[in-house]
Amino acid sequence: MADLYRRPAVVVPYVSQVSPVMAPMAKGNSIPLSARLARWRVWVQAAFALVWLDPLALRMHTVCSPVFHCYSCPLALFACPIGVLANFSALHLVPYVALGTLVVVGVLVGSFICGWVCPFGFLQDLIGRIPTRKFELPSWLGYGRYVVLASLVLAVPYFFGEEHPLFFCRVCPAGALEAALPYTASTAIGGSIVWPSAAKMIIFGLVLVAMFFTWRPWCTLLCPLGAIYGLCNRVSFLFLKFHPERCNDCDLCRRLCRYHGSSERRGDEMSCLRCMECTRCSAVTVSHVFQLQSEEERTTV
Amino acid sequence: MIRTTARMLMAILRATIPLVLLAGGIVSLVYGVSRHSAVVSVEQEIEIDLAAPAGVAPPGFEGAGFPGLGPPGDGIGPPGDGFVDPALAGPPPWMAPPPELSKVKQKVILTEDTSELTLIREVTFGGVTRLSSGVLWRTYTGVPPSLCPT
Repeated sequence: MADLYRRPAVVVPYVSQVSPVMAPMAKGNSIPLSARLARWRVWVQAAFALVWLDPLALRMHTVCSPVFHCYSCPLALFACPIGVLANFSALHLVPYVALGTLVVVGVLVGSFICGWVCPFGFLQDLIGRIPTRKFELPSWLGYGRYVVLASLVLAVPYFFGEEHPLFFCRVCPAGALEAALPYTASTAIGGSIVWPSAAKMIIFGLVLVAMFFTWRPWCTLLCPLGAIYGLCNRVSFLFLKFHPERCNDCDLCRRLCRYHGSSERRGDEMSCLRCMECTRCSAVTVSHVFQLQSEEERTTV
Repeated sequence: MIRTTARMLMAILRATIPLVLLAGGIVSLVYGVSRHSAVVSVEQEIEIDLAAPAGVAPPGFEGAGFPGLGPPGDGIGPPGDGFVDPALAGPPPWMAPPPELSKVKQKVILTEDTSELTLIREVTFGGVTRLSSGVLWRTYTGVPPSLCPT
């Protein structure tokens, strides 16, 4: 059993190079639509990033976006839901709009948002493409996301307010990259440079270095938004379904997964980012809750 | 037929939890957009007009010898040369036009019922904080800051 779930030492760097070799290992003959769509993922991410970067300078900061994008960024279209959660926790208010947005989006598509829409994930994917050796971190570290969500986003703001140095926005790497660094640059141009907080920059530096040596370190280890969507994976309308009757233990689905989400071959695994790369194996398909199927077919839960 | 119906029922059951959560999310979203608000206190500097009240005889005003209008004189008799009855020299001071208004700036604390959408925008630049007393407090007056304090 341990050998069955043993992962390769190095994650396969690019799927399309492997597919011709790996494809015969799967029992399916035709490439499903989801797998074909997965090849366009980077372009979908780029298109969404263009939207989040507010090209029309609309600055609709009364609306929460479903993605992790700092609202202090000069190029932010919507408000960051995690920033709103943290600030409302500090104000002792219930953020109905942010919660409603996250629940609606999470229940509809789960962590497809992480894999396809989030601009910070897209940035990590781009940096991850730099050909450096990628290390695989223990999957249990993924629970760090829930620790961050419970402590830095909810508990610390609630009990200590937004002035506390561990208030989430004060250590957020996305805030460091998208807001603090541009602000520092603008002040440097103006002549009187204002440095961002050291803690924020150190954390950003660590995450940035980690991006070169593992796929999506922030998303898989620490992202509180990913934690919320990970929880929603278990109840979302769309989900990845594993068909054991089609599986021949070729390990293809796990080799295709850069983000270690299919470690247990369960499409609704909470750490799954739903990049849909694993759907190139016919044993994994995209399904929805209204699909008529027999109980023995549905083995994802 | 029965099998298909059973599978449909199973599908509906599987979809029940997502449907309930989706409905809850929509309700939360609608409530937050349309109903939810919070009282935010804000310190504002306002100008107050200060002026002496007009139309009332100032105390101690005394006229030209008539009871209540001046000091007692020598009673009845023509006034001497050059005498000008102060009561006839012009309007009494209390009938004069009111003095110039003086404007004084004063800080007052106002409370505003702020919608959640506005609060979301406010927190994006640290515009609202919670005091130790539990009062929500707007951190700026006039033009809001452009960046959050973190």
